[in-house]
Amino acid sequence: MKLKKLAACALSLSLSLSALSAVPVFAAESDPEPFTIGFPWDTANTDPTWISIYNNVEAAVESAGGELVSVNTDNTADDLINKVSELISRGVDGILLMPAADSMLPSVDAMCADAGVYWGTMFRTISDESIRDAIYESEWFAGGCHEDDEACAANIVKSMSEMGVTDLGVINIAKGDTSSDLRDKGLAEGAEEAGVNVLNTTYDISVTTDMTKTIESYIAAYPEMNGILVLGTYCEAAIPTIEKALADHDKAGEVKVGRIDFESDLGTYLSEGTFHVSYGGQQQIDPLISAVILVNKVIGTPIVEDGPTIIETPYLELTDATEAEQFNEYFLGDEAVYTADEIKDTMIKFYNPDIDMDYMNELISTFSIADVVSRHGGGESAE
Amino acid sequence: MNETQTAGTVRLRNGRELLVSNFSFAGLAVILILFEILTGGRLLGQRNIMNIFNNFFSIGMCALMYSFVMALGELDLSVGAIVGFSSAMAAFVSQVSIYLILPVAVITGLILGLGNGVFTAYLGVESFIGTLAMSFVLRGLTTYFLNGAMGIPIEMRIFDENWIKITALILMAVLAWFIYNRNKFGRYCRAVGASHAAAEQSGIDVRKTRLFAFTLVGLACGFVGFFTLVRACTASSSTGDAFEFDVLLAVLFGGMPLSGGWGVKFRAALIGALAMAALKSGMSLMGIDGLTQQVVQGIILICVVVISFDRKNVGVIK
Amino acid sequence: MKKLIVCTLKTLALPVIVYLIFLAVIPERFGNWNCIYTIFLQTIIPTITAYAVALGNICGLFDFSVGSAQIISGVTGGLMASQFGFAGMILGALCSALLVTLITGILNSVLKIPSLVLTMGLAMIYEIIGSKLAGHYGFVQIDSKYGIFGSSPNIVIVFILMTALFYFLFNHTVFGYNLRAVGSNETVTKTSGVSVNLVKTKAFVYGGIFIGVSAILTLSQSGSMGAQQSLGSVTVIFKPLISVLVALVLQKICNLTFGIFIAQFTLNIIFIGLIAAGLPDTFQNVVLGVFLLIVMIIFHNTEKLAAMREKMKKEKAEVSAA
Repeated sequence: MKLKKLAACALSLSLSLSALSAVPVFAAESDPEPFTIGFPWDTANTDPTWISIYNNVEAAVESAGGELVSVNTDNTADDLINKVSELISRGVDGILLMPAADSMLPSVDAMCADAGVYWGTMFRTISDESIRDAIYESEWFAGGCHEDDEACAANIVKSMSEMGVTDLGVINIAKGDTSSDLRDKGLAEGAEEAGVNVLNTTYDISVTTDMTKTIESYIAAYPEMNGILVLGTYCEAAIPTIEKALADHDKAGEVKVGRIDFESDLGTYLSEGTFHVSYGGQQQIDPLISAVILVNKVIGTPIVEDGPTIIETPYLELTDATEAEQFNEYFLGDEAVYTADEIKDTMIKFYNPDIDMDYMNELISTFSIADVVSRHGGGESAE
Repeated sequence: MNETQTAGTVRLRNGRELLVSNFSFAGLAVILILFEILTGGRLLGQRNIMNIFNNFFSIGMCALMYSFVMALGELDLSVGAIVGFSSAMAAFVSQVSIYLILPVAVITGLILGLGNGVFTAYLGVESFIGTLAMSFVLRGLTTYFLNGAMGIPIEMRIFDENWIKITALILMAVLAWFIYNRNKFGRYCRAVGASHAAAEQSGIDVRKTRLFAFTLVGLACGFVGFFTLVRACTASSSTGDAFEFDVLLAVLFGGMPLSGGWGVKFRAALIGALAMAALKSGMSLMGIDGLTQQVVQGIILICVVVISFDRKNVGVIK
Repeated sequence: MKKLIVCTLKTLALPVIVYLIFLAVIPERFGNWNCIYTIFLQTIIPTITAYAVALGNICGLFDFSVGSAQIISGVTGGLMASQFGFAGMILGALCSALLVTLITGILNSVLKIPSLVLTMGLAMIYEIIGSKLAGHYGFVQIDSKYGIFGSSPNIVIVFILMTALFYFLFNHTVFGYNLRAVGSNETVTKTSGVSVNLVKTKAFVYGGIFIGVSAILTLSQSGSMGAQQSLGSVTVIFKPLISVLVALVLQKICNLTFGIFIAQFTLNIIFIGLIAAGLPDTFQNVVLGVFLLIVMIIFHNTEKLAAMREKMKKEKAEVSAA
């Protein structure tokens, strides 16, 4: 009898304990499942801007415990398609790319949809309406960031016009690139509004010797030229090269120089008064936020539930030598503009369910060089 | 020297010659085995095989017909520009009808190849210079006409199916093999490459032979332009960029001699293209950065040609 | 003397005619000395590069590695300038160019493979060496005080010196004679006791002098030198090569040294003329290719053209006699 009671008690106790263990009294913090993001990028390029783009994407991916798988590409449409296919075959969960043209996007979407892989874009909007509608409807397209290239180009032309520029020589990225086409459009609009004469545009300059030749050709062919605008270029040291060419022809300071996209030497020329205005800073925040959008989608907590997350990142204006030096140190260094920990705390919805579009737009509106300095350098924020 | 030593020396010489003449096979085998081990079996995994095939497809297709030009001892540096221009023309006509895409791409390539042949064969321009000039012209025209990039309907992606590409490549390979090895035209190409004067004196129409060889390359480029277009559904001014270097590297990897003649083996085109595609894929899987990949390719290129180049039968090495 | 004057005038006719065509189309932009002077200044660096290319081309060599050697030379010069000033820049650029071309020459001699293949492989390797030397930013900048060679009149003085050096090397040295002999018939030259390998190696090394100088001028003119990858440096040789080929055509009426300069000058007139005319830059490549084709077709068919002209003259004479 006693034995039976004892057994009954033991059985009851064990049953109670097992029941209790199934109920989480205190839930331990969990992390998302491990994932990989594929990133076709020109990893052979040693330009610090190119490297900083990679660093910012990596920080975003690692913030949620993911791994970045990169493959080298020359960023042409054909090669990107091949690299997307390669990354899919390597079993990535998401792919982030900078598209070469709108018309390649349906191919990318078809490949990713077949494989069940999410994908996102950076730096580019989709200009073609029919392609945009189709892509936005795709459940595999996470979204991405872009800038208002058209407005930026129009604004910088107007800024230069206010400085006295009436005849403008222009340099731009290769035609067919969405940013190039939009900046061309903005240039035309801004020039018409401000009464600036666009003398000529040279596209797709990638080496300093060609840059020098182009500027010298402009000087020779257009004696009336009083402004040079770099709407975009993949040429390293573009501004130093232009400044040198102008100085050799005694035109430094006389010909106003402006540029979209920051580079590392602007501070020197801003302080000398031979360089006048630049819009940029998006080359770090755009890829970071684009990666954040994709990461959130991949780990199951998309920022926007019922469609792609499309965010417009702002251009920062640079007219100050000190800010230019800070840009070099904090944007082109080894650290991303937001560290992985900062991204985890403020941008990954898995850890912060309150994140939505309004929140992201509010966060991005505070982004500036001073903001990055204050977080990573110990200075005061501009706010 | 006794009989055993003489026989041994002969065996050794034969062995060395056997290795040199089959060097391309050996090189391909080494690349496949080495990277299969280094990537933990991923190189020849089911998924990656198709990646290798896609990397190999365009280069292999062009290299097949490039054999004829190489056999002549000539070079064609315009293949990339022809691919880009054919692709652009095909993208243009897609706005009229999608059924015109393939014929326009192929005919454009054919005409441009014919043009190269006329310059080289009938107007006496050196192939290196003539095709270089042609590439400048075509690149400029492609950029001007396209004014950026142009898309084609996404439905055309159906031609990017693996079975279609495999079939197309096999058909092209069979056709090229037949012409090269079983048809007199192939022999004529090698004969002209071996000795222009001797070929002429033995009754071969050297000019026509050159003309057709370049036309065949143009034809292949037209097809490559089509398949490149339907893969990305986009023609841009950078389509076919540096493709001529890829094809040249591929045929050189395969051990094809620049001097032309009877030493040009058809298989070198395919083996070289495959070896290059496998090498690139293997290095990419291992996470080797682009800079290191380039150094490796450069070293391998030099080593391959050093080993496989037939110095005995070439009088003057330039 | 009369023959010299006639030949000089015939040679100068090429750039003059091209210039007059553009002057007629856009007189307001082309009708000033500043324009001509800028065209002349832009001709200098490609001409000096063309001298390096010419040395190899004449003896049948093809060197894809000129561009990458120029990059290594410029990057080394830039790095040395920051440490050792002017002397460092000049010595660094020249010594590195000579070292690179010496390696290329020795490998060409030892490996006995076609120079096209060897230099293509070496270009791929040299580009990466240049990238590594250029460091984190992928390019090297020099202080503006070291950029004096990039502007007039220093660049003109350097050009005159390099032109004189090339002329002397090509026309008044044993090396120059041997170079032409090798280019003309290598087998016969070898049989007559000339060390062909040594001549070819020297062609590479002497070419290195011109590569080093063009690198110094590029560095001085642009203020920086950037690395390139994926055989991007190969495109550097195409325009100088075209001027060499045109100069070889003009060799019948003028010295190669002068011919290279004239050809490059004519090309630059065309390029700047197209820009001044407001045409898109893509036309430059089209014009370049067409120009090259026309020149080569004329060169390779001069006998046929002369025969055609004779035939037309005879027919005209017969018609007028009738």
